[in-house]
Amino acid sequence: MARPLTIEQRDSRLGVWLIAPSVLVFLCLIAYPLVDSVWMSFRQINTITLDGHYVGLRNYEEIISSPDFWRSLINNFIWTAGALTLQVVAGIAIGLMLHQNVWCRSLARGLILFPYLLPMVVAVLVWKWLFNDLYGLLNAALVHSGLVDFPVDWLGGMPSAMISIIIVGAWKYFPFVVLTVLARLQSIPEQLYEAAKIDGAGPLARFVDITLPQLRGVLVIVVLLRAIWDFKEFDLIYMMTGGGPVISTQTLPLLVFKHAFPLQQLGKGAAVAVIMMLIMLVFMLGYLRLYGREQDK
Amino acid sequence: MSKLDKKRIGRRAALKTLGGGAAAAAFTLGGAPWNFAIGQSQRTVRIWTTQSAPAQIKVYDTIIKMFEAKNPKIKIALELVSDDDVFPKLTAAHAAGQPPEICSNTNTYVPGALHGRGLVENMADVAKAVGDFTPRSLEVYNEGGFQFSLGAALTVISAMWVRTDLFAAEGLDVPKHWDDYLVAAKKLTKRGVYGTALPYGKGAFANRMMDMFIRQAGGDIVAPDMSVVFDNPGTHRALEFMAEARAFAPPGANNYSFGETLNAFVSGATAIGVYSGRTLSNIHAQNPSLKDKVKAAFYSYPRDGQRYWVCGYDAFFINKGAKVNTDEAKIFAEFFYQPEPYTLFLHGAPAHNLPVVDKVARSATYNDNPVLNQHKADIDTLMAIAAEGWVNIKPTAKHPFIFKMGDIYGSNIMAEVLQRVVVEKQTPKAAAAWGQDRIAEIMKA
Repeated sequence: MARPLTIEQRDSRLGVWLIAPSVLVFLCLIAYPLVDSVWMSFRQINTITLDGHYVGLRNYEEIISSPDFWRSLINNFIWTAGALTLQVVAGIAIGLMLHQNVWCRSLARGLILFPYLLPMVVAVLVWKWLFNDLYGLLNAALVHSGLVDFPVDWLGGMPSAMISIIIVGAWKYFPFVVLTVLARLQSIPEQLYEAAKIDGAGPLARFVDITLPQLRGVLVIVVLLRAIWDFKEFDLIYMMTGGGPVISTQTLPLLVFKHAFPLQQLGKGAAVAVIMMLIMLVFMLGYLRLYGREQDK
Repeated sequence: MSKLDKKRIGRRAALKTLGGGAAAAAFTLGGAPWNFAIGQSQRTVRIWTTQSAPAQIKVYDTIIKMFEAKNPKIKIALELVSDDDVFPKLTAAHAAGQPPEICSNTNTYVPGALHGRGLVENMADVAKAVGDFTPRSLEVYNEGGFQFSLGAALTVISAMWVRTDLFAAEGLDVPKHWDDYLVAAKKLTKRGVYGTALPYGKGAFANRMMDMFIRQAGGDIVAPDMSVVFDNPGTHRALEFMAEARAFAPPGANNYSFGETLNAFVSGATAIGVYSGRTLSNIHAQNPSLKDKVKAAFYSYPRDGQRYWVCGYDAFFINKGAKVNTDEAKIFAEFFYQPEPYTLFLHGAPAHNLPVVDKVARSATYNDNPVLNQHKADIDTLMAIAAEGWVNIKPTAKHPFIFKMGDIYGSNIMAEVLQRVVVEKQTPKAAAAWGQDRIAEIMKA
């Protein structure tokens, strides 16, 4: 006769049952698409009909030998580095300002979230109007002030197109940096600043010797997270420029879309996506290592 | 067994039952088809349309209400898509097995590309039931008796629009040829007005204009024998012409597609525009000060080139798919072309959507429209252009149907070739050679 289960065994079994839905969701929404994408990357598949055949590494060979891919990769790094730098600099600066005891602090802290909360479609529409050559506020202000004689083609030339999407990306996502920096600033003991003031440290010295070291841990995590999210950004760039002019703002996510849908090369699109995943894995491993170190501290 | 153990066992049993029940429900719902056969009384017909102007959405709402009142078991779900995005979106929808029932007012190449893969329904029965379609509107979508689409309407997208007041002030005639066109555009670029609005953005409109200019210059894209001939002197000339004209277009023209090109002219920012009769309805609605100062004309072509214009019988087709409610879609299609709803639809954008059903075209109700009445001469010009116009999937009488033109247009290769010349300053020959290779890959696939 089988021995009855102990309470601990019954508890474990119940735990397995309770965690089963999450595992199922993970398998369906993450594991299966991942494995399927990798499998698709070894096949030549027409997107509309889904007919295809196995081609081995041919998709990867063609992608890696294509100038489009390398241009997209470089654009991706430029966009990520540019947007991230602006986000972090603006995020820290505004976080510091919002940490001061000013009369409109609560209102400002609420309003600063506005870009982050705005739906991407709305944000892009507003910025495209601002950048418009004929009716845009930006060009109107520049021409009126005499800084330029003719409107600037913000989204149709280079490097203005890349600069424009970097500015919009930084504007959209810097509130995330503000929030995390502000949260950390509020946990820095005031006594450190008082002691520094007593020792004669000026504002810059206090920032460099107290604030920055205290922010370092959280900034590293924020930079890594934002780098991962910016690297795979699709909506903003697609809606702003579509990857143009030509392919000067085309990044890897847009290249995945271009192969998969307009060119109907689902296998190649999957191959670019797999390469992207491998690049982001490097970011991810870095994040996990640093997160582990922070946890240990 | 202690009281505590009894409680624990009781809670554990309850949790197990709950978890099991939730899992069972998830599997049942997840596994069942979306359209439950039991108790289903209404079927939905999804319609994708590119006609998203506010006046047209109102008209669609009226048509849908009229239809649903007559057909309570059919629900219509209207979804707006842009001309530039409709092909990639449809690709994804078919790949997912969930295409919309109907697509309306897409470019000709869209149903062509799908028909080439057996993904659209035969609408010959709808055409017969409606009767009275203009022959050409059926011809362009009929391959060997298979009516793979109907024409939603005739749109003459390549009509040239000129500002008669600005031309008169400079003593200029409407340019017939490219050289006159460039002279006029240069003279008219002054005092905050640009000479011309042309689409240079990486999208559908630039593809269409490139197609037209290439053929006007004696070139071709895919020859009648299906060989790729994109890299040819006609293409080089077309690229040179558009590169020269760029100097007289607004600064943001590198991003212009349909809406931007139209708005540039309607707002008064350019002296020459290119668009369908929607130019008139938009001017009446948005900038009525220009309504007596614009005129339609045949677009300029090279002096030693060919008279060639693109126009479209914008498509109205039914997708094929396991989950498509085909019968209901055909019921709606037949209703749509009846005089009352079809006239309403045409009046939503008068002069832009011109009728393809003869009895509607001749009817007093349709012709009783202020825009149509005020601009009879322009409408006649549009019809004259259409009479000489061609569609991209069958570009000349010598060509068979080129269904892969859908893939070529959808890939935006021609627009990218144009941008390589205009933005990156590549030579037309180098850009055309690049385009030739890309188009050849598509034709081979």
